[in-house]
Amino acid sequence: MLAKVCAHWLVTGLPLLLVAPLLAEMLGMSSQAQPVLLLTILIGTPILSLIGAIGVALTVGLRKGGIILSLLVLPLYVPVLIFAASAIENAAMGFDVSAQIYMLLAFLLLSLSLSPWATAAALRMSVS
Amino acid sequence: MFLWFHKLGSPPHFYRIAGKWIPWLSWIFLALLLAGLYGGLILAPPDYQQGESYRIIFVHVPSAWMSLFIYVVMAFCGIVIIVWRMKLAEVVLISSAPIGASFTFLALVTGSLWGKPMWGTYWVWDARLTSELILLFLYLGVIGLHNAIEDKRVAARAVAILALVGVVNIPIIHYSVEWWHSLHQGASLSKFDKPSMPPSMYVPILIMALAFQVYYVLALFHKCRVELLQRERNSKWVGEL
Amino acid sequence: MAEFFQMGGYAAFVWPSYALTMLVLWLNWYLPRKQHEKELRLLKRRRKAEKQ
Repeated sequence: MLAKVCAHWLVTGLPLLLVAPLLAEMLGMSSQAQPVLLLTILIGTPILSLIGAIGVALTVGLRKGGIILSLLVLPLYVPVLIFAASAIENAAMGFDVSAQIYMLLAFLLLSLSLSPWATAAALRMSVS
Repeated sequence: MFLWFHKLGSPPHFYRIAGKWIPWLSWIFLALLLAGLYGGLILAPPDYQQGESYRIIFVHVPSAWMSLFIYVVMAFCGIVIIVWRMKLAEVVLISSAPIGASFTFLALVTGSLWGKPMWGTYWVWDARLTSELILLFLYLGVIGLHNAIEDKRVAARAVAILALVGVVNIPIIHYSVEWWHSLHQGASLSKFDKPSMPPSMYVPILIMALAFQVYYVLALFHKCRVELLQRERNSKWVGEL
Repeated sequence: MAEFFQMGGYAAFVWPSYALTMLVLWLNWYLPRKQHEKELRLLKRRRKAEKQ
């Protein structure tokens, strides 16, 4: 299960990580915020992939799966987005960002341990 | 104890017991509601800072508590479903979702009606408000997923997993106020030994909270009875009703 | 009495919150009851059809 999620991250998260510095430069982001931006993307995108896997596994056999999928997954994404955005905002103003980064790391650990189990259970249910 | 639990778990038994309890619960709820409203709207003095507007607290805070409490109940049902595949837990989980969504909706709307005169805005994207909104979407997700799956027993397992994943959000909501500076005032009642408000204010809140708890059980029993009838339409006990 | 209903000038915020709360609570109580009756009626009709 983790291997599948890793593969997904390699084709979605990794390109974002590579493009982000370019976009940040183009949009005129301050130089002190850029490393934080990369760090939040590095920690954040695997969380999104892991949560997404649960959502996909739950809705895999459904006809209207797409709508339900976004309804299930987007609310779970929001805390990640909030903490990452808050980290970058703080970094741009020159404040400490360790609290937000630790929070994101905690989310990552949590989803790493919880998601494979939940995805497997959901898949077993969906294909039965 | 286990035998009692086992017996209660059987659909016909639960259907009958719930039917017997409903009138009692209705009267208890009505009495508590009237007491809470009387205490909150008439007996409680106006707040020295917020004037009369703070009276929204008597419906806002109990609603917010219930929105969290019901989700925890659903997650607990989720564990029971995954581990023991208990039918009654499936019914309780899915019947709780609309009630929980209602309380979440009420907490959000009464909160913004309180926020307008106090903060000057109906809505801010702060931690607590945002996570309460997320909670509403989690409830809607549970309802939507359950409706989308034809086989109700499969649907219940899917919803159980979703409820367990979503329960991670509950501590985030609960502690968000301490983590972030925000407009939202601190928890209304955190320490029971030394509350920050006089008894004439917090007693009505507690009475209303109790009333809402009783109401939850009452509405849950009503919804469970319908859900049980629909699911077990072809079974023997429904035929004998 | 009029003073009570004015809520110190906050009537436009206090009363809608209470009204909405009562409405939502009533709906969650009334709708399942109605559906329960409908379900029982359906059951009765089906039983009649089976007897004939």
